Amino acid sequence: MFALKQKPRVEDKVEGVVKTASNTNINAEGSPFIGRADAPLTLYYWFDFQCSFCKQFDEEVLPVLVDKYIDPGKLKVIFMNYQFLGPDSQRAGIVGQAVWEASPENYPKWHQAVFQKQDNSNSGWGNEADIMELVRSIREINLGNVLQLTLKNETAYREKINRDKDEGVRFNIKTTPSVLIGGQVIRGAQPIAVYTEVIDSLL
Amino acid sequence: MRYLLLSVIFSIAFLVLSIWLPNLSFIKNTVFSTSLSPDRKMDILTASLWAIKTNFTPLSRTLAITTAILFGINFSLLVYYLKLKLEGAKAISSGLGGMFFAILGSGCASCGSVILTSLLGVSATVSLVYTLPLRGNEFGIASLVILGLSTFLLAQKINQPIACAPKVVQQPKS
Repeated sequence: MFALKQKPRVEDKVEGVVKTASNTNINAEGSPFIGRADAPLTLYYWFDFQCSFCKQFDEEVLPVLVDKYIDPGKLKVIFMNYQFLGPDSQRAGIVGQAVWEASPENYPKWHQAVFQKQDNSNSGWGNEADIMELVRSIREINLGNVLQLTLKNETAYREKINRDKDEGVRFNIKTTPSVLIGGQVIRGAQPIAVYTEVIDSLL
Repeated sequence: MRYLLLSVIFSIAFLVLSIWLPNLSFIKNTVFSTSLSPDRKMDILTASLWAIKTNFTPLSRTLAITTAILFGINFSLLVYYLKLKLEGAKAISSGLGGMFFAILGSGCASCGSVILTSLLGVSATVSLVYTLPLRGNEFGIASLVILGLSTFLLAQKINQPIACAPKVVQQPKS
Protein backbone atom coordinates (compact mmCIF):
# COMPACT_ATOMS: atom_id res chain seq x y z
CA MET A 1 0.00 0.00 0.00
CA PHE A 2 1.22 3.47 -0.74
CA ALA A 3 -0.03 6.57 0.98
CA LEU A 4 0.55 10.02 -0.36
CA LYS A 5 1.99 12.50 2.10
CA GLN A 6 1.65 15.19 -0.52
CA LYS A 7 -1.72 14.90 -2.24
CA PRO A 8 -2.31 16.19 -5.75
CA ARG A 9 -4.35 19.39 -5.85
CA VAL A 10 -7.30 19.79 -8.23
CA GLU A 11 -5.61 22.72 -9.95
CA ASP A 12 -2.55 20.53 -10.58
CA LYS A 13 -4.40 18.24 -12.99
CA VAL A 14 -2.33 17.36 -16.01
CA GLU A 15 -3.41 19.41 -18.95
CA GLY A 16 -2.49 19.22 -22.60
CA VAL A 17 0.51 17.67 -24.19
CA VAL A 18 3.48 16.94 -21.94
CA LYS A 19 7.05 16.72 -23.20
CA THR A 20 9.27 13.97 -21.83
CA ALA A 21 12.99 14.27 -21.16
CA SER A 22 13.69 13.01 -24.66
CA ASN A 23 11.36 15.68 -26.10
CA THR A 24 8.68 13.14 -27.00
CA ASN A 25 5.16 14.56 -26.90
CA ILE A 26 2.63 12.60 -24.88
CA ASN A 27 -1.02 13.50 -24.60
CA ALA A 28 -1.79 13.04 -20.90
CA GLU A 29 -4.66 15.48 -20.67
CA GLY A 30 -6.98 14.63 -17.78
CA SER A 31 -4.82 11.74 -16.61
CA PRO A 32 -4.68 10.94 -12.89
CA PHE A 33 -1.27 11.41 -11.33
CA ILE A 34 0.55 11.41 -8.01
CA GLY A 35 3.32 13.79 -7.06
CA ARG A 36 4.04 17.44 -7.58
CA ALA A 37 2.78 18.79 -10.90
CA ASP A 38 6.14 20.50 -11.48
CA ALA A 39 8.31 17.51 -10.48
CA PRO A 40 11.51 17.40 -12.58
CA LEU A 41 10.89 13.84 -13.74
CA THR A 42 7.73 12.14 -15.03
CA LEU A 43 7.02 8.43 -15.18
CA TYR A 44 4.08 7.35 -17.37
CA TYR A 45 2.55 4.11 -16.15
CA TRP A 46 0.29 2.11 -18.50
CA PHE A 47 -1.85 -0.40 -16.60
CA ASP A 48 -4.89 -2.64 -16.79
CA PHE A 49 -7.02 -3.06 -13.67
CA GLN A 50 -7.26 -6.84 -14.25
CA CYS A 51 -3.55 -7.41 -14.86
CA SER A 52 -1.95 -9.33 -11.98
CA PHE A 53 1.50 -7.95 -12.83
CA CYS A 54 0.09 -4.40 -12.58
CA LYS A 55 -1.22 -5.27 -9.14
CA GLN A 56 2.27 -6.41 -8.24
CA PHE A 57 3.74 -3.17 -9.61
CA ASP A 58 1.20 -1.15 -7.59
CA GLU A 59 1.88 -3.03 -4.38
CA GLU A 60 5.64 -3.48 -4.59
CA VAL A 61 7.12 -0.78 -6.82
CA LEU A 62 4.86 2.26 -6.38
CA PRO A 63 5.22 2.49 -2.57
CA VAL A 64 9.01 2.60 -2.96
CA LEU A 65 8.76 5.28 -5.65
CA VAL A 66 6.40 7.30 -3.42
CA ASP A 67 8.80 7.18 -0.45
CA LYS A 68 11.99 7.73 -2.36
CA TYR A 69 11.05 10.12 -5.15
CA ILE A 70 7.40 11.27 -5.14
CA ASP A 71 7.13 12.57 -1.57
CA PRO A 72 10.44 14.50 -1.87
CA GLY A 73 9.02 16.12 -5.04
CA LYS A 74 11.47 14.55 -7.48
CA LEU A 75 9.04 12.42 -9.47
CA LYS A 76 5.49 12.48 -10.75
CA VAL A 77 3.69 9.28 -11.83
CA ILE A 78 0.96 9.65 -14.45
CA PHE A 79 -1.56 6.81 -14.67
CA MET A 80 -2.24 5.94 -18.32
CA ASN A 81 -5.08 3.53 -19.09
CA TYR A 82 -4.34 0.41 -21.10
CA GLN A 83 -7.61 -1.39 -20.32
CA PHE A 84 -7.31 -4.25 -22.81
CA LEU A 85 -8.26 -7.32 -20.79
CA GLY A 86 -12.03 -6.98 -21.20
CA PRO A 87 -15.18 -5.18 -20.06
CA ASP A 88 -14.35 -5.25 -16.32
CA SER A 89 -11.13 -3.36 -17.04
CA GLN A 90 -12.93 -0.81 -19.23
CA ARG A 91 -15.61 -0.23 -16.58
CA ALA A 92 -13.04 0.32 -13.83
CA GLY A 93 -11.11 2.65 -16.13
CA ILE A 94 -14.21 4.77 -16.82
CA VAL A 95 -15.16 5.05 -13.14
CA GLY A 96 -11.52 5.78 -12.35
CA GLN A 97 -11.68 8.90 -14.51
CA ALA A 98 -14.83 9.99 -12.65
CA VAL A 99 -13.12 9.41 -9.28
CA TRP A 100 -10.15 11.48 -10.43
CA GLU A 101 -12.47 14.31 -11.46
CA ALA A 102 -14.61 14.12 -8.30
CA SER A 103 -11.89 13.60 -5.73
CA PRO A 104 -8.31 13.63 -7.10
CA GLU A 105 -6.70 13.42 -3.66
CA ASN A 106 -8.42 10.04 -3.11
CA TYR A 107 -7.68 8.58 -6.53
CA PRO A 108 -4.58 6.64 -5.34
CA LYS A 109 -6.61 5.03 -2.56
CA TRP A 110 -9.37 4.01 -5.00
CA HIS A 111 -6.83 2.80 -7.59
CA GLN A 112 -5.21 0.47 -5.05
CA ALA A 113 -8.58 -0.68 -3.71
CA VAL A 114 -9.54 -1.92 -7.20
CA PHE A 115 -6.32 -3.95 -7.42
CA GLN A 116 -6.97 -5.43 -3.99
CA LYS A 117 -10.35 -6.70 -5.24
CA GLN A 118 -8.80 -8.22 -8.38
CA ASP A 119 -9.87 -11.78 -9.26
CA ASN A 120 -9.98 -13.86 -12.46
CA SER A 121 -10.39 -11.81 -15.64
CA ASN A 122 -13.95 -10.75 -16.51
CA SER A 123 -15.52 -13.02 -13.92
CA GLY A 124 -16.71 -12.56 -10.37
CA TRP A 125 -15.95 -9.10 -9.03
CA GLY A 126 -15.95 -6.12 -11.37
CA ASN A 127 -19.46 -5.26 -12.58
CA GLU A 128 -20.98 -1.77 -12.32
CA ALA A 129 -22.50 -2.44 -8.87
CA ASP A 130 -19.20 -3.84 -7.50
CA ILE A 131 -17.24 -0.81 -8.67
CA MET A 132 -19.75 1.65 -7.22
CA GLU A 133 -19.84 -0.28 -3.95
CA LEU A 134 -16.08 0.10 -3.81
CA VAL A 135 -16.42 3.86 -4.38
CA ARG A 136 -18.99 4.00 -1.57
CA SER A 137 -16.62 2.12 0.78
CA ILE A 138 -14.10 4.97 0.57
CA ARG A 139 -15.85 7.54 2.75
CA GLU A 140 -13.82 10.49 1.52
CA ILE A 141 -15.20 10.05 -2.02
CA ASN A 142 -18.69 11.33 -2.76
CA LEU A 143 -20.48 8.44 -4.47
CA GLY A 144 -23.21 10.74 -5.80
CA ASN A 145 -20.66 12.89 -7.60
CA VAL A 146 -18.91 9.87 -9.10
CA LEU A 147 -22.21 8.38 -10.28
CA GLN A 148 -23.29 11.65 -11.80
CA LEU A 149 -19.97 12.20 -13.57
CA THR A 150 -19.90 8.62 -14.86
CA LEU A 151 -23.39 8.96 -16.36
CA LYS A 152 -22.70 12.39 -17.80
CA ASN A 153 -19.22 11.78 -19.21
CA GLU A 154 -19.13 8.06 -20.00
CA THR A 155 -18.45 8.60 -23.70
CA ALA A 156 -15.74 11.18 -23.01
CA TYR A 157 -14.09 8.91 -20.42
CA ARG A 158 -14.18 5.96 -22.83
CA GLU A 159 -12.53 8.12 -25.49
CA LYS A 160 -9.93 9.22 -22.94
CA ILE A 161 -9.16 5.56 -22.09
CA ASN A 162 -8.79 4.69 -25.76
CA ARG A 163 -6.58 7.75 -26.29
CA ASP A 164 -4.30 6.64 -23.43
CA LYS A 165 -3.98 3.20 -25.02
CA ASP A 166 -3.25 4.74 -28.42
CA GLU A 167 -0.50 6.81 -26.81
CA GLY A 168 0.95 3.57 -25.45
CA VAL A 169 0.72 1.87 -28.84
CA ARG A 170 2.64 4.84 -30.31
CA PHE A 171 5.53 3.82 -28.05
CA ASN A 172 5.17 0.17 -29.07
CA ILE A 173 3.62 -0.77 -25.74
CA LYS A 174 1.79 -4.09 -26.06
CA THR A 175 1.98 -5.45 -22.53
CA THR A 176 1.11 -4.23 -19.06
CA PRO A 177 2.53 -2.92 -16.85
CA SER A 178 4.74 -0.70 -18.98
CA VAL A 179 6.35 2.56 -18.04
CA LEU A 180 7.92 5.38 -20.01
CA ILE A 181 10.59 7.40 -18.28
CA GLY A 182 13.18 9.68 -19.82
CA GLY A 183 12.13 8.52 -23.27
CA GLN A 184 12.78 4.87 -22.32
CA VAL A 185 10.03 2.24 -22.33
CA ILE A 186 10.38 -0.46 -19.67
CA ARG A 187 7.96 -3.34 -20.19
CA GLY A 188 6.66 -5.82 -17.63
CA ALA A 189 6.92 -5.90 -13.84
CA GLN A 190 10.65 -5.36 -13.40
CA PRO A 191 12.53 -5.60 -10.10
CA ILE A 192 12.42 -2.33 -8.13
CA ALA A 193 16.17 -1.84 -8.62
CA VAL A 194 15.69 -1.42 -12.38
CA TYR A 195 13.36 1.56 -11.85
CA THR A 196 15.43 3.17 -9.10
CA GLU A 197 18.67 2.83 -11.09
CA VAL A 198 17.06 4.43 -14.15
CA ILE A 199 15.43 7.23 -12.09
CA ASP A 200 18.68 7.92 -10.21
CA SER A 201 20.54 8.17 -13.50
CA LEU A 202 18.02 10.75 -14.77
CA LEU A 203 17.85 12.95 -11.66
CA MET B 1 32.97 -31.97 -21.15
CA ARG B 2 33.16 -29.41 -23.97
CA TYR B 3 29.56 -30.13 -24.97
CA LEU B 4 28.37 -29.94 -21.39
CA LEU B 5 29.89 -26.45 -21.16
CA LEU B 6 28.25 -25.55 -24.49
CA SER B 7 24.88 -26.74 -23.10
CA VAL B 8 25.28 -24.60 -19.99
CA ILE B 9 26.27 -21.52 -22.03
CA PHE B 10 23.35 -21.89 -24.44
CA SER B 11 20.89 -22.60 -21.61
CA ILE B 12 21.94 -19.43 -19.79
CA ALA B 13 21.90 -17.43 -23.04
CA PHE B 14 18.38 -18.63 -23.84
CA LEU B 15 17.13 -17.87 -20.33
CA VAL B 16 18.64 -14.37 -20.42
CA LEU B 17 17.05 -13.79 -23.84
CA SER B 18 13.66 -14.95 -22.49
CA ILE B 19 13.92 -12.49 -19.60
CA TRP B 20 15.12 -9.60 -21.76
CA LEU B 21 12.86 -10.28 -24.75
CA PRO B 22 10.13 -7.73 -23.84
CA ASN B 23 12.77 -5.07 -23.19
CA LEU B 24 15.34 -5.55 -25.92
CA SER B 25 15.30 -1.86 -26.89
CA PHE B 26 15.71 -0.80 -23.25
CA ILE B 27 18.61 -3.25 -22.83
CA LYS B 28 20.21 -2.03 -26.08
CA ASN B 29 19.85 1.63 -25.01
CA THR B 30 21.35 0.82 -21.61
CA VAL B 31 24.33 -1.02 -23.11
CA PHE B 32 25.07 1.70 -25.69
CA SER B 33 24.19 4.70 -23.50
CA THR B 34 26.85 7.38 -23.37
CA SER B 35 25.39 9.02 -20.24
CA LEU B 36 25.45 5.92 -18.01
CA SER B 37 28.63 4.85 -16.23
CA PRO B 38 29.80 1.24 -16.74
CA ASP B 39 28.92 0.50 -13.10
CA ARG B 40 25.38 1.85 -13.55
CA LYS B 41 24.97 -0.13 -16.78
CA MET B 42 26.05 -3.30 -15.01
CA ASP B 43 23.69 -2.60 -12.10
CA ILE B 44 20.71 -2.10 -14.44
CA LEU B 45 21.50 -5.19 -16.50
CA THR B 46 22.00 -7.48 -13.50
CA ALA B 47 18.93 -6.07 -11.72
CA SER B 48 16.81 -6.67 -14.83
CA LEU B 49 17.66 -10.39 -14.74
CA TRP B 50 15.62 -10.69 -11.52
CA ALA B 51 12.56 -10.12 -13.69
CA ILE B 52 12.52 -13.94 -13.76
CA LYS B 53 11.04 -13.53 -10.28
CA THR B 54 8.80 -10.48 -10.78
CA ASN B 55 7.63 -10.80 -14.39
CA PHE B 56 6.82 -14.52 -14.53
CA THR B 57 4.13 -16.64 -12.92
CA PRO B 58 5.39 -19.79 -11.10
CA LEU B 59 4.24 -21.88 -14.11
CA SER B 60 5.78 -19.65 -16.79
CA ARG B 61 9.00 -19.42 -14.73
CA THR B 62 9.25 -23.22 -14.48
CA LEU B 63 8.54 -23.54 -18.21
CA ALA B 64 11.12 -20.88 -19.09
CA ILE B 65 13.87 -22.52 -17.01
CA THR B 66 13.08 -26.05 -18.22
CA THR B 67 12.88 -24.88 -21.83
CA ALA B 68 16.23 -23.10 -21.46
CA ILE B 69 17.89 -26.27 -20.12
CA LEU B 70 16.40 -28.40 -22.93
CA PHE B 71 17.33 -25.75 -25.48
CA GLY B 72 20.96 -25.84 -24.32
CA ILE B 73 21.10 -29.65 -24.47
CA ASN B 74 19.38 -29.68 -27.85
CA PHE B 75 21.67 -27.07 -29.30
CA SER B 76 24.89 -28.73 -28.16
CA LEU B 77 23.63 -32.10 -29.44
CA LEU B 78 22.87 -30.45 -32.76
CA VAL B 79 26.39 -29.01 -32.93
CA TYR B 80 27.87 -32.42 -32.08
CA TYR B 81 25.64 -34.09 -34.65
CA LEU B 82 26.56 -31.64 -37.42
CA LYS B 83 30.22 -32.12 -36.52
CA LEU B 84 29.82 -35.82 -37.16
CA LYS B 85 28.54 -34.79 -40.60
CA LEU B 86 25.57 -36.99 -40.46
CA GLU B 87 22.52 -36.21 -42.50
CA GLY B 88 19.43 -35.78 -40.44
CA ALA B 89 16.96 -33.27 -41.75
CA LYS B 90 14.19 -34.66 -39.51
CA ALA B 91 16.07 -34.18 -36.28
CA ILE B 92 17.30 -30.74 -37.27
CA SER B 93 13.87 -29.51 -38.36
CA SER B 94 12.19 -30.72 -35.17
CA GLY B 95 14.96 -29.04 -33.17
CA LEU B 96 14.34 -25.76 -34.99
CA GLY B 97 10.57 -26.18 -34.47
CA GLY B 98 11.10 -26.64 -30.74
CA MET B 99 13.29 -23.55 -30.62
CA PHE B 100 10.62 -21.52 -32.48
CA PHE B 101 7.89 -22.53 -30.01
CA ALA B 102 10.24 -21.92 -27.11
CA ILE B 103 10.77 -18.33 -28.27
CA LEU B 104 7.03 -17.88 -29.02
CA GLY B 105 6.11 -19.06 -25.54
CA SER B 106 8.80 -17.13 -23.73
CA GLY B 107 7.00 -13.82 -24.27
CA CYS B 108 3.89 -14.95 -22.37
CA ALA B 109 5.01 -13.62 -19.01
CA SER B 110 3.57 -10.17 -18.25
CA CYS B 111 0.03 -9.37 -19.41
CA GLY B 112 0.28 -9.88 -23.18
CA SER B 113 2.76 -12.02 -25.10
CA VAL B 114 5.50 -10.02 -26.79
CA ILE B 115 5.95 -12.25 -29.81
CA LEU B 116 2.28 -13.07 -30.28
CA THR B 117 1.18 -9.42 -30.09
CA SER B 118 3.74 -8.63 -32.78
CA LEU B 119 2.33 -11.38 -35.01
CA LEU B 120 -1.40 -11.08 -34.29
CA GLY B 121 -1.95 -7.65 -32.73
CA VAL B 122 -2.99 -6.87 -29.15
CA SER B 123 -6.74 -7.60 -29.42
CA ALA B 124 -6.34 -10.89 -31.29
CA THR B 125 -3.65 -12.04 -28.84
CA VAL B 126 -5.84 -11.25 -25.83
CA SER B 127 -8.76 -13.12 -27.46
CA LEU B 128 -6.54 -16.10 -28.24
CA VAL B 129 -4.67 -16.23 -24.95
CA TYR B 130 -7.85 -15.91 -22.85
CA THR B 131 -9.51 -18.82 -24.62
CA LEU B 132 -6.57 -21.01 -23.64
CA PRO B 133 -6.87 -22.69 -20.22
CA LEU B 134 -3.25 -21.97 -19.28
CA ARG B 135 -3.34 -18.38 -20.62
CA GLY B 136 -0.65 -18.88 -23.28
CA ASN B 137 1.62 -21.20 -21.32
CA GLU B 138 0.50 -23.85 -23.85
CA PHE B 139 3.23 -22.52 -26.16
CA GLY B 140 5.82 -23.19 -23.48
CA ILE B 141 4.52 -26.73 -22.98
CA ALA B 142 4.48 -27.33 -26.76
CA SER B 143 8.10 -26.18 -26.93
CA LEU B 144 9.05 -28.59 -24.14
CA VAL B 145 7.42 -31.51 -25.96
CA ILE B 146 9.02 -30.64 -29.32
CA LEU B 147 12.44 -29.96 -27.77
CA GLY B 148 12.22 -33.22 -25.81
CA LEU B 149 11.31 -35.14 -28.96
CA SER B 150 14.07 -33.42 -30.90
CA THR B 151 16.65 -34.22 -28.21
CA PHE B 152 15.53 -37.86 -28.25
CA LEU B 153 15.77 -38.04 -32.08
CA LEU B 154 19.21 -36.41 -32.08
CA ALA B 155 20.46 -38.77 -29.37
CA GLN B 156 19.19 -41.73 -31.41
CA LYS B 157 20.88 -40.47 -34.58
CA ILE B 158 24.15 -39.89 -32.73
CA ASN B 159 24.05 -43.41 -31.32
CA GLN B 160 23.68 -44.92 -34.79
CA PRO B 161 27.01 -46.13 -36.25
CA ILE B 162 28.70 -43.77 -38.70
CA ALA B 163 29.80 -46.63 -41.03
CA CYS B 164 27.55 -47.26 -44.01
CA ALA B 165 25.35 -50.26 -43.71
CA PRO B 166 26.32 -52.96 -46.19
CA LYS B 167 23.85 -53.47 -48.99
CA VAL B 168 22.28 -56.86 -49.00
CA VAL B 169 22.50 -58.20 -52.52
CA GLN B 170 19.99 -60.83 -53.27
CA GLN B 171 21.45 -63.68 -55.25
CA PRO B 172 19.16 -64.75 -58.09
CA LYS B 173 17.86 -68.16 -57.54
CA SER B 174 19.14 -70.53 -60.09
